Amino acid sequence: MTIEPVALGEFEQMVLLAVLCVAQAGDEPYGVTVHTELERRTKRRVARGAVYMTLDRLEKKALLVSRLTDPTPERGGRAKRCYAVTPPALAALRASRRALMRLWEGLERA
Amino acid sequence: MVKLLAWLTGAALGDTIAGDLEEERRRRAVRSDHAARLWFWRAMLAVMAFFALRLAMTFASRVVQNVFRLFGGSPGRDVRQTLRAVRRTPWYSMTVVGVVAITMALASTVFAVVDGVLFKPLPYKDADRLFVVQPGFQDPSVRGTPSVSARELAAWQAAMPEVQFTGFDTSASALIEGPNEAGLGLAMVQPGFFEVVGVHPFMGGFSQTDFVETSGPPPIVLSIVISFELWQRRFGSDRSVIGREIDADPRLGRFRVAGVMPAGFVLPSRAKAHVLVPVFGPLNSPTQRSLSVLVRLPKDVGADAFRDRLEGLMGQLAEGQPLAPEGNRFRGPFDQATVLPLAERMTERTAPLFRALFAAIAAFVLIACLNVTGLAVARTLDRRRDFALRRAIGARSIDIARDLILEHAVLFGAGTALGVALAFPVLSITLSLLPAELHLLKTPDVDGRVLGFAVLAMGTSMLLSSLWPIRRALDASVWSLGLAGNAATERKRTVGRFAVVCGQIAGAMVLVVAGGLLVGSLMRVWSNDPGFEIDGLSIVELAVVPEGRIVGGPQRGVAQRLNRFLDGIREMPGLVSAGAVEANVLERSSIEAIGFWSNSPARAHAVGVPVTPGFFRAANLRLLEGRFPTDQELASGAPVVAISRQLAAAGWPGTSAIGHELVGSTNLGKSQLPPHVVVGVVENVRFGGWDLTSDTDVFAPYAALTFSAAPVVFIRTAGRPDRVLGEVLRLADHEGPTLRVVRAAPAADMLADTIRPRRLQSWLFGSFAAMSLVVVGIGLLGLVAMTMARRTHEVGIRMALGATRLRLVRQLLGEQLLPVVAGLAVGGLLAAWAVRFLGSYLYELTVYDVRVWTAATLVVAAAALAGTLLPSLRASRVDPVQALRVD
Repeated sequence: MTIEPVALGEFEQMVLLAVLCVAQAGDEPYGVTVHTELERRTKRRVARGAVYMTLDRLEKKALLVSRLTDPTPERGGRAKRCYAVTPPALAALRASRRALMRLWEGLERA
Repeated sequence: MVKLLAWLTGAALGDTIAGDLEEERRRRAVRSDHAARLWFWRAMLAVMAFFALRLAMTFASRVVQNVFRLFGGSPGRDVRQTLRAVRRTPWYSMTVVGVVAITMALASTVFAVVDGVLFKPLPYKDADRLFVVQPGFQDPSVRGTPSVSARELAAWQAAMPEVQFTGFDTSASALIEGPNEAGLGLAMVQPGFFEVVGVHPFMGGFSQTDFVETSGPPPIVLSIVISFELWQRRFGSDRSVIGREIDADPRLGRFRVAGVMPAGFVLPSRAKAHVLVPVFGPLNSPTQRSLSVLVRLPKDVGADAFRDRLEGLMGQLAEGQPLAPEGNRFRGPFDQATVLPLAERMTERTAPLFRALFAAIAAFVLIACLNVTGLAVARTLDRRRDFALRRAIGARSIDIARDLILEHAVLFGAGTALGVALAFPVLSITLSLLPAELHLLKTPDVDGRVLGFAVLAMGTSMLLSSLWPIRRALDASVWSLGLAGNAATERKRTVGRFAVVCGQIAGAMVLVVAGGLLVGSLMRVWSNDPGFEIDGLSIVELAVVPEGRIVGGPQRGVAQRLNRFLDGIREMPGLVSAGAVEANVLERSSIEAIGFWSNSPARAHAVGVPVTPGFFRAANLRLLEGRFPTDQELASGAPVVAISRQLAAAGWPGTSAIGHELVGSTNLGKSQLPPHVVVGVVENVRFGGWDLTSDTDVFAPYAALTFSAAPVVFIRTAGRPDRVLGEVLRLADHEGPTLRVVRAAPAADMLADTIRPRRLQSWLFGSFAAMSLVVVGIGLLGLVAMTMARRTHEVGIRMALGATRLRLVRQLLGEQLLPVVAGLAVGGLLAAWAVRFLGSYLYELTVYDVRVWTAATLVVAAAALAGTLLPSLRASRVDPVQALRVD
C-alpha cells in the first residue's frame, strides 16, 4: 500500500525548502534563520508571524519535527526550537515538484 | 508583552518566538543598541498583530457558524431560500427597499451634517479642560459681553499660574485670496495660544520675535500661520511655502507664511479663521479690550472653583480703580465672570437646530419602521398557510423567525446600500446650501462614521420591524386556519394594525407641520421687497487703501480712487449706471458712523448712507414722493437727501417730509453736519439681508459724508450681470494694490446668500416632510392593497348580495378612517409640543399659524386618502364570480 503524499500549499513548500536550505548551509533551522532565508531567496518581505504559524502547522502535520536546545542567557533563559524536515515532507515536496514540472511544460510549448 | 504573545500564539510557540526575537535583538545590539531595540519592538508588534488578526478571523468564522447552527440553518441554503422568496413578491420587495432607501438617504445625509456639530469631539488635546471666560458686570443695566485687555489677562495669569490663559481676537478680516472668499477669516492670537489649545502647527510656527515686533503699529510684513485647507487650496500643499512672502490685504501690508496648522484644526470660537497672526497694532494695546479668553484648567480645578477665584481676583484688581471711567460703565472693572465649557460655547447657536434635525431623523426612521412593519405583517398574513404547513411538518419557531429575519436583512441591506448611494447626491445639494458661518468640526462626508450610523439604524429598524411579523407568523397553525376558513376574520381591527397606521400618520403630521412652518417662513422671506431692483444689478464690494496706509487714521484719497474706478466702469459697454454707497450691503450687519435726526418734535433717528452720483439709477430705488438728489448735487456734496418711507412716517407722521430738514453728526457725534433738506422719499431698503428689517435710511451725498475705505459699487447693466463682473475685476487689477475687490456677484446671488440658513432648514425639514408623505402614502397603499387581496372572497360575497361599488369603497375607506383621524390627532398634539423649539427660526409666522396647520392636516389626510383609495377602488372592480372562486 502506498501512502498518498500530502498536498502542500505554496507557502508551506517555501517554508519547508527554506528549512532544508538552512540545514544544508550548516546553520540551525529555527524561526529567525528560516525567515531570513525566505526573504533572502525570494527577495520579498515575508511576515514573521506567518513563518512561525506555518512552522507550527507543518509540525502538527508531521512534516517537520522539532527539538528544543538548552536555554541560554542570550535568549532570555528560553530554549530554541530547531526544526528538521521529515521523510513525508520530502515525499510531498518531490510530488509537488513533479506536478509543477508537468504543468510547466505547457509554458515551454506556448 | 510576552504573556500577551503567549496568549495569542499558545504558550510553547509564544516562548519560542520571544526567545528568537530576544536572541536576534542581542545580536543586532552589537552594532546599535537603539536600533536593535527598535527592531525588537517592531518585530514583536508585527508578530502579535498577525496572530491577533488570525484569532479574530477564526473567532468571527466560528460565531457565524454557531449562529446558523443555533438556529438550525445553513448559510448558503437559507440565503438562496430568502432570495427566492424576495423574487416571488417583487412589489412588496421593491416597496420595502424603496422606503428603506429613502429613509437611509435622508438619515445618512442629515447625520453627515449633524455629526460635525453634535457628536464629533473637539479637535483639541483634552478638550474637556478648555473653558471660555466671559467677564461681565453685576449691574444689570450694563448689557453686552465685553472682551478683555491684554493687561487684564496678564494680571489674571500672574495671579493663577497653574491655569493656562490665552487670548485671541477675531474682529478683523483679511484678504488673501480673490473676491468672494467670505470664509477666509483672520484671528489675532497671543503668545501661548497653541500651548493652551494643545494643537501646534504641523509645519513652522510663530517665533517670539513675531510677537515682539507687533507690539507697536502693524509691521509691514506680518507673520501668519495658515490653515491646512488654505495651504492645500492656495499653495497646492507646497512644503516650501514657509518663509514665503505673499501679496495680501493692502490695508494690512504683506504676509509672510510662518506655519501651517494641521488638517481638521478649527479656531476655538464660533468665528472661522484660515489665517492666524500675532496680535498687532492698536489691538495689541495693553488697555484695549479686544481679546476673547480661553483657559485650560488643571485636572484638579473645577470650573466653579476657578470662576470663584477669578471673581475674587477681579474684586482685588478693581480696588482703587474708578468704577466707570469716562462715565462708561462698560469700560469699567469687571466684577463677575461666566466660565463655559468650550464645546458648549462653540455649538450653543447651532445645536438646538441640529438637535431638532436629529429628532426629525428619529421620527422619520420610526415612520419607516412602522411602515415596513405594516407591510411585513400583511405579507405574513398572506403566507400564513405556508407557515402553518411548515409548523405542521415539524418546523420550529426559531426556523420561521430565522427565515423572516433573513428576508428582512436582505431587503433592509439592499435598501440601505441604495440609500447610502443616494446620500452622495443629496449631501452635495445640502452642502451647497450650508451657510458659510456654520461652524462644523469636520467637513460633512459619507465617511466611516456615517456608514456606521447607517448600519446601526438599519440593524435597529430591521429588528423593530421584524418583531410583530414574527409574532403573527408564529400564530399560524393548521388548526387556526381551519377555524378561520377564509379571510372573513380579517376585518377585525387589531390593536397592532391600528397603532401602525396611527403612528405613521402621527409621525408624518409632526414632520409636515415642522417642514410647513419653515418652508412657509422661507416663502414669506422670498415675498419681501428688498427695496432695490435685483434684475440686471451687480454688487461689488471694494477695499480702497487710504494714502499713508494708517489703520484707523484719516481716509485720504479714497474718494478720488473710488471716482476714478467708477469712471472706468461707466465706460464699459452695456452699462446703464454705476454708483457707490457706504454701507454694509447684504452682509447681515449694519454700520452707523453717521447719524441723522429729524428736525421735528419726533426727533426720529436714522442711519446716514453716503451715495455717489449714479447710485439711484443703478440701485433703482422706488421713489414714493418728491425726487432723487441729482448727480450734480451728489457730486458737489449739496445738503439734500432722500429718506426711507419708515423715517418719513416716524419723523413727520401724517404729513409730507419733503422740504423738512435733518440734523446729523459723524464719527459717533464728534463732528456736526449742516442741516440736510429732504427732497425725496423712497421705499424702505433691506440692505442687511432679505429677512432683516430695513433701517431708517438717509441717502446723502458721498462727497460730503465719506468716512470709510470700504465702498460698495452698484452696477446696472442691460444684459446679464455676470458679463460685466469679469471686466470690473480686470479693471480692479489694473488699479494696482491700492484697490482690491472683496466681493463681486450678481445682486440676486448675494441676496439669496443672506438667507442660506433658512434655505438649509427649509430644504432639510421640507425634504423630511415631503418624503414622510411619500412613505406614508406608499405604506398605506401597500398595506390596504394586501389586506384587500385577502378579502377578495368577502368583497365578492358583498357584491353578489347587491352592494354597489360606491358603497363598497365608502365602507373600505371608513375602515381606515379611525386610525387616520387618531393619527392626525396624536400627531397634532405631538407637533404642538415639538414646534415650540422652532419658534426662533420662523419668520413672521407663529408656531401655531392656522394656515400652515390647516394645510399640513389636509396634506397628510390627502396622502392617507390616496394610499387607501387606490386599492379600495381596485378591490371594488372585482368580478363577484371570480372573487367567489378565490380560496
